[in-house]
Amino acid sequence: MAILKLHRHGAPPLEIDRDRVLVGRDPACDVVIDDKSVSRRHAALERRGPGFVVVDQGSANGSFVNGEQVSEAALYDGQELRLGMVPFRIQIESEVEGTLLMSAGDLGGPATMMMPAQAAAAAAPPAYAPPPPAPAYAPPPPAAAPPPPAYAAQPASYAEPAPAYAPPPAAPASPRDEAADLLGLSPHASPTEVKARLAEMTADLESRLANARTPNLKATYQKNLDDVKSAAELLAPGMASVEAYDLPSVQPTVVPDEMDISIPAPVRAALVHLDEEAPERQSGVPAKATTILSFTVMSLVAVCAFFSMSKTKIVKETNAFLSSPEFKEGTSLAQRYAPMDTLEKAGALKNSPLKVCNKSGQALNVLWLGAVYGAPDKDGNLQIKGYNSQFCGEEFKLNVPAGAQVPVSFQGGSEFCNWDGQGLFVSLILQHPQNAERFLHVARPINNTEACVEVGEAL
Amino acid sequence: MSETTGEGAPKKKSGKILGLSWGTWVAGALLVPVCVMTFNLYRSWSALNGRKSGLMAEHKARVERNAELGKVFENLQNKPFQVCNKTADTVTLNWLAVAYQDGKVIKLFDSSRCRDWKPPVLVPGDARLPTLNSDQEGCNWGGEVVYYAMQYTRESEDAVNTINFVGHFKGYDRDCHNVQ
Repeated sequence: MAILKLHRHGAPPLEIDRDRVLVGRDPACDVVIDDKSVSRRHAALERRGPGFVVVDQGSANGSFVNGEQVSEAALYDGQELRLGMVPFRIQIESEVEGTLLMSAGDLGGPATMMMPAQAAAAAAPPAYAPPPPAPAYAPPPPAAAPPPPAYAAQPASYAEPAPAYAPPPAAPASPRDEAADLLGLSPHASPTEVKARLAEMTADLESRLANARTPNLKATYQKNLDDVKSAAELLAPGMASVEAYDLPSVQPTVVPDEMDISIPAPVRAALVHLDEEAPERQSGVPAKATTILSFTVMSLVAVCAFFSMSKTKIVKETNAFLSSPEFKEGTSLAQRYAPMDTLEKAGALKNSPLKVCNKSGQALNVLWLGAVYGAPDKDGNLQIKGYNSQFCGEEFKLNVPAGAQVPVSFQGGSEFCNWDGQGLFVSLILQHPQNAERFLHVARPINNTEACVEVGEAL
Repeated sequence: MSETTGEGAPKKKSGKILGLSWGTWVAGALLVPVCVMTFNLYRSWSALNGRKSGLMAEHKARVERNAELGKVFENLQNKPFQVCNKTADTVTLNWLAVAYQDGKVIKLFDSSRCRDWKPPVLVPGDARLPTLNSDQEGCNWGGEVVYYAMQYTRESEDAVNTINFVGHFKGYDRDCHNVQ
């Protein structure tokens, strides 16, 4: 009698030799595939004559033979059967006794698939008890003993992905056998074969890990990866230390979103919307430009607000200052002092040196000289004082030769007769050179522009 | 990536115009007017600030200048000038020269240069406010004095004394230069 073998890439084959096997996610099925893309009762594999057919049981995600969706189709050796998103390669050959368990890790996805016969033996709840097993499904002799509880079926396994690697149930199998089984190799495989197999599986798992959408799925893939590496290390010590990226065959492949069965379709659809609505998230440049521009605009708006508020404040302060009594008093005083300011700037309050300039052609004798000059007091204030030569008697003598410019200063014996010649106002009485009875009177302010007091110009 | 969702929803627009998102366009469009507004506000703010600073500095300088001028203000103030004869002699004001403030200039009146000047004669106890209203240049004087110089004679029964005087007229004694 022919035996149907379902091969999953890199996993031990699943052998089916019964007349009808129900495949689905429900633990009550004959073959349980714990994968969310697989319906609870997905398809049936039936023996018809010498061959097998697959009959879809109204699954949500469909059954496919060589990529074409089928409701019922004959199965031939070498075909690809895909239930939901779980692919198998079909092999039909003569009957062979063997294990019927395939771990989720072996399937390369978050699925756990095992025959209920073994699940039941693993102290599964009665509700998940398999139908009465056919004699052909009797466990192999070493498996007669109850399998360890670690192989128990997981009733709620559709909620979270199961650990990738489920150890083979065969009790007498050595760790090396288990590792070989996990890698899908002979226990006596050469290191080269192990290396190639490791690279292949690592690449597959790395790509799945890179595209996993949920933390749980990532954890599952990571555990699968660790298990595979551990198995490779066991078969060929030192091999697992080889980084997968060093191997030429390892090129991560991107799993299309629609093929990522770890996310329910509505969520995947929502993600598609999100991606399309936010193109900035796909490349950082536009988002960065928007951020920079927005930040600049907001900064400028803040600066504008500052200027605006500051302007208002300045105007208020200025108006308050302009109407303050202090400002008004200062302005009023300045108006009062304006002429004084001009005069002071013109030197009217600044002593200037006195020079008497004789514009006549004869020597002139100064009979009297009086001057007003400023002198700072002890407080620095300007005090106006006077010099009067009449009080100095014989000490005063001043003769101005014809055409001469004579600087004037007197150092008399008394305090009143000392004058350094710096003054504000000066007056002189000169004797007429030709008529002793006539006198010439001269008076004028002294300042920088008129440093020379001219006398005798009318003579 | 599929262009339709699992529910067959149509693909949404990418929201990009010429490779830039609408957010970038909006921010870029806002940037120009905001820049102009910022610049204009800065200019007016700067002008106001400068005006305020200028006013403050001007006021400070004015107060300092006022304090400085306040000390000498009286020194250049015109005072009405009188000659008061406090003696028992007759006093004749032969010559009078004064410097007085006329607005922002110091002017000079010199009686020796004015043909219309008539020397005032003051009997004892007399007070005279000398002025001269003349068409001659420099001889139209209203009697205000800052600095002055004069020569007068006192004629007593015994002698005639000629006295020369120069000084700053403060007008302390009822605006009189007392001849004593």
